[in-house]
Amino acid sequence: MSNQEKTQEWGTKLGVILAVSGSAVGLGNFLRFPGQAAANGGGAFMIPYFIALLVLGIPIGWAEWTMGRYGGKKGFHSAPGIFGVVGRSRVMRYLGIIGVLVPLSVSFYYTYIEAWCLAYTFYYVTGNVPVLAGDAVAAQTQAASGFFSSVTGMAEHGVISQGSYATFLFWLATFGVNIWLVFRGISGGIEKFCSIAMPTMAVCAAIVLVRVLTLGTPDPANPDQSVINGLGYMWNPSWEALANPQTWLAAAGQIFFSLSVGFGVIINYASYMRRKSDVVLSGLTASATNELFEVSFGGLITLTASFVFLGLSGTIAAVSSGTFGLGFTTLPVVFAHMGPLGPFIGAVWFFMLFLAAITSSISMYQPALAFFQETLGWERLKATTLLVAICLIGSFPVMYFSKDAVFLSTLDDWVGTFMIFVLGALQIFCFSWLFGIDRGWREAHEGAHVRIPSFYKVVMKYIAPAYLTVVFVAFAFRNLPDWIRHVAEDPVRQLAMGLILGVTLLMVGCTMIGEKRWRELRMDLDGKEDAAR
Amino acid sequence: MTALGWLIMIGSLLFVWSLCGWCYYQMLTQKEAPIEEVEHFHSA
Repeated sequence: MSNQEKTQEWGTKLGVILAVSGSAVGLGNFLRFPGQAAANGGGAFMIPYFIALLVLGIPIGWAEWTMGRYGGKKGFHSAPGIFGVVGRSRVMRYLGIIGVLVPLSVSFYYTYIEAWCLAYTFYYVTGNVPVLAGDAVAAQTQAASGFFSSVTGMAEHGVISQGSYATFLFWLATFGVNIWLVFRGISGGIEKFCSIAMPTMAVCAAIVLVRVLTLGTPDPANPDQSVINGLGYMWNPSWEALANPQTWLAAAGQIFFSLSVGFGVIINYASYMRRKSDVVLSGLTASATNELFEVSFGGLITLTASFVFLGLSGTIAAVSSGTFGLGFTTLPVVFAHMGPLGPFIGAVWFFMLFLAAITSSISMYQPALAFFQETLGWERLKATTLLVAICLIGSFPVMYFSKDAVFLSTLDDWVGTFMIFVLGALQIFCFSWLFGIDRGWREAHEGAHVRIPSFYKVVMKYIAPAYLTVVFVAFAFRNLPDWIRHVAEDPVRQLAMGLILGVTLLMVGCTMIGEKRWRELRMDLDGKEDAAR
Repeated sequence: MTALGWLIMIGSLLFVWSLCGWCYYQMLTQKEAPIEEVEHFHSA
């Protein structure tokens, strides 16, 4: 790598926080969180949710931030390099490949979903969303569902062959912007963009929030469909849910995925921090920012707006339709009921989702770019070219095999869900047991102005790993048999698994080349230099 | 909306806003060169 690459670092302490927060804040904050809460006890959900935040999300996040900065001190910015030096073993180095596989593979479909958000923004701005204000709710829902299907290609394979070549153009633009931002570098690209995008996202969310909270009771014929009752649907507690283990699993899962720990992003971003940067406060601030968006906006906007216009039964149906159904079918119906301001609010909402998605997607490309530069010793342009080639190979089948989003959902199941649990578990184990909790504690507090409460040593060494293991085992028990059967029965899913395997093998090869390079450069790739401390 | 619902909603919002506010306040008022505490631990 050139000297210019070696000196890449964040410009300001706020910059890395906004970048990590941007990575974490995504569609899930606005669409997944409210659905999970409403389906698992409403307000009662917040108890296991906040417990999981304090016991699982924040401590694993601290471990990841600390590992990243430590790896950066040693000259490593890729997860294999960092895992190798922190875990002090070759086995951990190769397991660290998961830290590149996850973000890169998720980017194959995430950028496509991002393009949907951009497309919807465009269609709202140009008045081309075919959900008409005067129609009955059933007709509006059908129109919204049909529109979503045509934009995304859900009805048949090959979104372009269905005539939705516009979606491909939106993807091309989205992908191009992502690559351009990542190519511009940590400070000049990612940091600068997130510094603008995050406040803009907050303003957009605030506009929609104010509009929703001031809806009152728009339909006199349905006086129960009010904002207050809509908030009640989300926040009134059903305490019996706390006796159901599923509620605790759902809360832990939501926190884990919402904070983007175990995603391979924080560990890469933190590696560009200065040696004495405060990872304790940075990690806490990034988590807090994510929670602010999730609870304030996700918790107050989505289901409230749905309840006001669609009532209880419509909102229950919306919750059960999942993230895509809620975001892209239910909400367009809601916006159609908002009168003349509806299209404007719709445009603002989907533009906000686009910003949430792009700040996340650029964070997924950066770890892979750093990985190729670091292992192969390539300059930025050459590594970016390789990254683009791999992304084209990975993204095209997502767009082509679009019927029921089968390719997308396979990648999301195995890489975007299963592998994230694995990586999170590896990280906390590596930090607390291989690196050592005392050493990790000391490392975390280097440069820290805020002290982690001492009981967190026990949390990071025993409670968080145990909690994560329970969640992971329960998740695997519930889902893996069906997932495996689906793959066995469907050639398209098998192709997706083949893609994952191919990318993994490529990364193993790159890591082998990197190992050789790092030894020749006399880098401390096995973490032996500090081992005696 | 029930009283408990209000309590949970306002409590949750207060918690996340307070945590966020405290974090950004700490970050913006940090001095550049923190006092380094050297604590001697035995390696795990």
